[in-house]
Amino acid sequence: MTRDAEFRTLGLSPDASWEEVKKAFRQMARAYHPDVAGPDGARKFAEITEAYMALKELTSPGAGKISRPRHARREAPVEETGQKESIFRKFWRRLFSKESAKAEDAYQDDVIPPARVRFIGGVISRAESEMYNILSKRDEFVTKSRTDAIIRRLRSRHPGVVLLALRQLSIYNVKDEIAVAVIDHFKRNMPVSEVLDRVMDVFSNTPRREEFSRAVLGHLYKFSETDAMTVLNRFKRWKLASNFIQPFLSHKSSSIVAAALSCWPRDCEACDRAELAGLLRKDEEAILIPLLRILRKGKLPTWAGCRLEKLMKEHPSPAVRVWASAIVRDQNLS
Amino acid sequence: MSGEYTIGIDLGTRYAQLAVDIPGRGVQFIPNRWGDVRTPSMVAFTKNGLVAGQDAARIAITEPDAVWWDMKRHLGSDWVARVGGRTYTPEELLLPLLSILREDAEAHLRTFISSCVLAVPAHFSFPERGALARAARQAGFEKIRIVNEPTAAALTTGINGRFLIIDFGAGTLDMSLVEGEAGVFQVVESQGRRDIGGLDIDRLLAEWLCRGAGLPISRPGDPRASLMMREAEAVKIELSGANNVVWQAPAGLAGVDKSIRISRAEFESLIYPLMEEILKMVEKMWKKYNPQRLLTVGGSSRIPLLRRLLASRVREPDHMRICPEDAVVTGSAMYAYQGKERLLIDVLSRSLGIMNSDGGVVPLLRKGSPLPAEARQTFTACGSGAIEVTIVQGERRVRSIGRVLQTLMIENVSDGERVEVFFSVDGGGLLHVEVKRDKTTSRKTISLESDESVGAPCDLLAEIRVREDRLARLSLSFPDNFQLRLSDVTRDARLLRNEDASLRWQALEVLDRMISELEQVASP
Repeated sequence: MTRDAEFRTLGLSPDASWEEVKKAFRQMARAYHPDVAGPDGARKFAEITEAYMALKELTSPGAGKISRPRHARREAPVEETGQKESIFRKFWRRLFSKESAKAEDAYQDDVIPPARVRFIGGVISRAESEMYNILSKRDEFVTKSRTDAIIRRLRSRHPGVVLLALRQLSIYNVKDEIAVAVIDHFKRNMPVSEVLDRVMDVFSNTPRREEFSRAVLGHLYKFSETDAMTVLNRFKRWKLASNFIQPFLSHKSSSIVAAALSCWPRDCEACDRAELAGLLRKDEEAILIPLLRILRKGKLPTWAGCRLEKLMKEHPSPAVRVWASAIVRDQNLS
Repeated sequence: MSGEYTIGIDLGTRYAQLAVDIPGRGVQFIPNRWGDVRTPSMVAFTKNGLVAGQDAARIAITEPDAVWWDMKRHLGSDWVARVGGRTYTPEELLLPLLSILREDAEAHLRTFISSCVLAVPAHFSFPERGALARAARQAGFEKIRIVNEPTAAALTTGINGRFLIIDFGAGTLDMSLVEGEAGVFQVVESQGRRDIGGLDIDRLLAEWLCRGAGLPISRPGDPRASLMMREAEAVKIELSGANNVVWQAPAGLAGVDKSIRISRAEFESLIYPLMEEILKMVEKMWKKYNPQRLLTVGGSSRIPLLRRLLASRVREPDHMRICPEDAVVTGSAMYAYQGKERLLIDVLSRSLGIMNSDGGVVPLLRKGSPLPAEARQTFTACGSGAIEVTIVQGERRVRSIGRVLQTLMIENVSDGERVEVFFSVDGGGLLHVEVKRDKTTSRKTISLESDESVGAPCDLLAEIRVREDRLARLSLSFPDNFQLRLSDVTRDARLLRNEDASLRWQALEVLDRMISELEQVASP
């Protein structure tokens, strides 16, 4: 039995040896292997593979040794190729002879009834809209896999990987699941200053903003001055309630305390705030001035009286003395 | 951003390694979080769940019962680990290990990694490969390719001509016969044994040391046994360079206070039977193909006795340009970016077929087919009701002898209905099967790797092309603007070629419906 078609596929003459077959196969594989030519080459690669396997049986010196019953070896290829060729031939015959001739006729006539045009248009636009639906589903798949990827990394135990995931967050892709995962992570771990600002930026417009803020506040006592300042500024912009600002008052850095005092919500009464009482006992000018400014606005709490008088008389900074005396004068303490 | 790199993973029995081939910068090894390029392939059970790598290795010292390192040998079988009131399958045990490998690569390369090349022993079967790929998918990899260990190593050599490459690692022995020609490496045959490895040598040596020290030969699971194995490994490595080693019993072995002297000759007589078995395999392969060169990779190939025996009875092994332990991982990293100048073509190691109703096997893909390969065949159902499609692997033509990989049930088949079976095996031997029925539009897709579609069986493009031809014929009679819109629709369908299987089928259905409706008008 001859294998002319297969030899032709590999670009060989029908008397080629096994070595030549192998060589030709490799050269063609180099051009059509799916890793080189992409999925488009797959069909061609399948063809040359098939030719190669058929010729292997024919030309390879060890061909007869494969443990396979004789009849199977002889019959299987015949059947396969026979079927294949007939389908192939039929296809080409149909393509070139009848159908194309008919189509050409139609084209030359160039008279298409409008009802038919409308029908065709309807069919195509329905197909278009269906295809569009499928494509939009694809986008859902993509975003879902992306969301899953980020959540998986947020749950990792490797700090570097979590950092990567946090860096990947952007305002546009924070879904609720991701937000929950981030909050979960921050409940357990302290945020790294590198991404802190960015993550807070991302949370600016989400409904879980307060929950997130609470998770971050849990680590406040460990924060450096810069980080605490970043968080505080962000809270100020978000106009959070006073109980979010309050923890900053116990921060070890006086500039943070001062900043927290200066963004104290206006509507909040100072009377029953024990932390403020503690702060009033401090001596730093930076803390005292914003504190006194708050005290002046509302009703003066009872604990403030004698400390104010002392500040008015003894504090080294003139500004503090002026503020204190102003309050004392307003309230008619003396 | 994400998915920029494809990493190569050598998931060895003892150590796992990671590498990435950055185009233009060559292959780089990726250090793990403990600063080492080799991660112990161990997984340990703790109160807080499973841990892997160095953490597991630390637990192994005190609680060897809670640590596993041989999951790879059990992949695809029914073996389960019982601990802490539940059971773990080998896949579940591999999951934390693969996860930490991915995380290490991500932290090192500073990007999300979603694709990898996994090196597996050449003798791994389809279910084993599928199970491994499934574990990798769960560990967060989206695109997974698999490559055989010895053939991956062959990719690093750049040899022209026929050569035999032996991968002798900690758990497995594999060999591949490869023909190289101007950068194209074609595998001719691969063979392997899963019961010969460096660990077996360690075990022999550990027993010998125990006898010498007067220790009772301990049962597996004894903390002292795992300690002895580690000691034996150290002695073995030392004996590759030294003629005599004095082993000092470590403090962990309570009650033994002794030093034992072992010479290389004694060690070699101990492992000689094992080496003889390897030599037998090599000689058989050598005689069958008569290659021109011999290469050895894998840590255990450093053993001087093996090299000496190979040199005297087969051929002096050639010098690998890279460290034998690193060859496989380097090769897998290179495989991720193979192209025109460096191409690896593996072959199917066993035939694949479908069982027909009388118990015979119809082969669809034959042994030795270059990969990736695909085949389709149409069967006619005899009898109605549910039919089974049984996928069989092996050379025999009778089902009872071949190995049954999987059986697909197809419900509600009418008598005489045609069922098309489509097989595709990708470059690394992952099998994907689709069954398409003639009368209904429902198609059943299964893959031994996972339930969803994987990568892209190139099927969709071919199918679209067929429809495009039909449309091209039809559209000749349409006005021009319709032709444009038709090509837009097919282009949309092409976009889906890498997507989920259900979406791909939906796209095809839309095309089919459109074509059938258009054909009605075209031929009145």
